[in-house]
Amino acid sequence: MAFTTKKSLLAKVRAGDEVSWEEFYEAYRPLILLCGGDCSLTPDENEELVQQVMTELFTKDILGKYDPDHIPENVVFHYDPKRGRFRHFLKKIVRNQAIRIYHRRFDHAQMESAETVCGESAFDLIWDEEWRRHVLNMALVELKGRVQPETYAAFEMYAMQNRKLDEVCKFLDMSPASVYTAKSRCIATLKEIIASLEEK
Amino acid sequence: NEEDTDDLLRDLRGSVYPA
Repeated sequence: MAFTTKKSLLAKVRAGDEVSWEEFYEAYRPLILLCGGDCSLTPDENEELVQQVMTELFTKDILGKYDPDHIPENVVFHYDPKRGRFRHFLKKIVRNQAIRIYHRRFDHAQMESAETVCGESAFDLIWDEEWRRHVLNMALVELKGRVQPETYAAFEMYAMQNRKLDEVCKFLDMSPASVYTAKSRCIATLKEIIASLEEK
Repeated sequence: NEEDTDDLLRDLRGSVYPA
């Protein structure tokens, strides 16, 4: 099995490595959208939430690094690990921006609605669930880069897509034992990846 | 005295979702 030392996006962010904004945006947009949806934001408000969160992250990141009038085209995202766990840092920004959108939507008589949906304990539950989904998706991407293509194909077809064993064996020209081994290896590797993504 | 007298997979399937 060919293992590479390529870091996952989250590992790079946590380590303070440089990450392209495009890569960051594509990876974290679904997480923010799903959190917004769970907070009962409308589709338009949800898109606004993504933009506001990304803009806040971007602004905080470039603050003091560049002249605001001359920001380079290929600027990258760089998280300072001294700020604590990235997961908590991002959660705070997403929640605050969601509340800001709520405040604009409701008049003061209905302000308690924002606290009900975006209250700290309610939002913690939403965030934990969506973060778990985010980690699972990132883990699958990382797994694909860490195992042989035919191992991943066997795992994907048999374990993820629930295809029949003989169909998978025939399509990939593998023995049943090899398919079971591929599935077992991939699950073991996935558990390692998930544990490392969730530990910090 | 794999050889499957984890079924994590459901969660994964469920999850599998300009600057």
